[in-house]
Amino acid sequence: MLIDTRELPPGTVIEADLVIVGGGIAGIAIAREFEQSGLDVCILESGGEEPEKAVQDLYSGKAQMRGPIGEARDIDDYLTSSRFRYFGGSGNAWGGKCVPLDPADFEARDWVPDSGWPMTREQLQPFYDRACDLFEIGRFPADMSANWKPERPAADLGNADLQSLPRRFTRCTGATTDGTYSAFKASVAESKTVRVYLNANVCDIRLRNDGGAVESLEVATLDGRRFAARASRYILATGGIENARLLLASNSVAPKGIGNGNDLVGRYFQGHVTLGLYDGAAGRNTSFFLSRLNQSFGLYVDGDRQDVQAVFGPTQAAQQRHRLRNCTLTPLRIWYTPQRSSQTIMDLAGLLENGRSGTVTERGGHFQYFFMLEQSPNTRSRITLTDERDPLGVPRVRLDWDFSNQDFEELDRAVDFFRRELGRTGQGRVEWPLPHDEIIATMRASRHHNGTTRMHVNASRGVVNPDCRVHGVSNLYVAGSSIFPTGGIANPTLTLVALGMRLADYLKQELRS
Amino acid sequence: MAELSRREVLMLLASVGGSSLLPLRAAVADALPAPLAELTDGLDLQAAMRLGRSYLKRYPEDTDIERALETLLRDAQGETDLRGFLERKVAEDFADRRVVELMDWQVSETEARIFAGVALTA
Repeated sequence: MLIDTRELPPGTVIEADLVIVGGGIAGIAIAREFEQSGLDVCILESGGEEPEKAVQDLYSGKAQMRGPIGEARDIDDYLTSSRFRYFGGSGNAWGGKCVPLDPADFEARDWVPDSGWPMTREQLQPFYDRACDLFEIGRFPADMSANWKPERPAADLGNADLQSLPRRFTRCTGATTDGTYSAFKASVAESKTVRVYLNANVCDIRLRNDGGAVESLEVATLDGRRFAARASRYILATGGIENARLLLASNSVAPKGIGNGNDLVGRYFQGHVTLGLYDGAAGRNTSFFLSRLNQSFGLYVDGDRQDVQAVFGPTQAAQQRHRLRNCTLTPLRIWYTPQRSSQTIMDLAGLLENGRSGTVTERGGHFQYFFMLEQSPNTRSRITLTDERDPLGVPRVRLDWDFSNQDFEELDRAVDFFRRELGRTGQGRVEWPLPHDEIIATMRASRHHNGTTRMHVNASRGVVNPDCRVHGVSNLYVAGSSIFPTGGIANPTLTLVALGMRLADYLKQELRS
Repeated sequence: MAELSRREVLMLLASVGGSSLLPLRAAVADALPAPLAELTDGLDLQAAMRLGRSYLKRYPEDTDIERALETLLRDAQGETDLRGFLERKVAEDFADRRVVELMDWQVSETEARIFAGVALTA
């Protein structure tokens, strides 16, 4: 049921077996798991049913992207444009793209510092299956390279090192208009066992005096009312930035913030960015040419966002052999006539590799693309608190999104891999016009915020343990992409929902016992 | 394929270069085996020349381009499938990292030298 917190009598204490802070996709997906559990669950959602400027402004803060040679780009608006603070959360604007992390993403790779999850892809597979069922999409096989049979055939580049990586689109997002996402929200809003408190802002997580457990949450409304919420277990599901903010801001017992004894909360921020230039016929473009394209490429470039879309990436074996980070090349349909020099390069490649020149490009062998590369976990890339406070008294955040020199060097290596593999196998050529000093200025940031409360078995290396529980706090858990130790390339929503379901299973068992 | 002289090498490259040198192209095409004749279609000679000049400007150390091209085609002696030979050569270039940046594209050294040859011929 939906409850407007502003209408509660003064002094009301919200009590439940489980309190979930945040009514976005993660919070709702977890709450749904408790529907038949007999446990009393409530969600505390900051916003109402519709977006409101004053609520959204609670996200405002300072943000900057930084590169290794002193480049800096102010992106303050990213903090408010990449998140949505009302019931349904950022799922209200999510593109719906679903894909699991690759098996390699879970492994400790000695060429990716601080990599390695405390679980394998195989262990997470049952939860990925459940998350796919929730989103009403086909399940992804555990081994994407060996058994994958998409509904439509993926392009075969005939290259053992490059593979086609399909993504599926769910209708369960606010970006669709068929009511699927409304029904998803209604599944808890109309539930008899889940209470959803709207306009309920958690301002402080109050620990017991010994710091070993959460005692209560301080809840406030924007019209000045204050309440408390108490539960046996608490889950933070407020997103990859806000989870860290709440932990850092809750410092009355733990002076450095909850779970921050090792100065890790907020660090390791990793986002996903797309890299590409699209100046059309007048300028520079990221494009590639396939000289032997002999099948439809619609799977890759049609972009109807309703079924399957495929991208290209190195196989796990190739990542290991070439010591590459995870990366993908996403083709886009070409929309301009290439310059003569570009056309001639493609023509010669087509002549040599296929015995044909212009006819190949006329058939659609030339594509634009954007490139994505897994960002390296980096302690300098972080969320901190500023001296400025929001109207509820919570310190605003500062995001320093830091890209290291190693990130750029690895980008070179990854782009070079694609260029070399296409050339080596006689498949085509790649145009990459982006020098290092233009990367920060041109990168486009996705709404994916990973790593700020990273998961690790060891408290000295992570904020939450493999059960998603904050190290050192017996009843506080974190859900969402902030617990990802590394972010891979996959859109994070499917993974964070799978992890949320795994957490729900764990808590159901724990609460019953 | 018979032994090629330096002049013939350059004429051959011009033939790869395209249609705006029609007399030269026609003459060379008459003398070429069928696979190579296919290569004479479709290339923009002016653009190829610009690419070649760009390569020579960017990689001035590759000054003995004519000799490099002669070597390339000497390796092709006896090949009945010149296109296939060049395709393999290009693939080897990529595998062995003999690649160059040309107008933001990465091409093989062999392709770059073909463009350079066109530029020198013109």
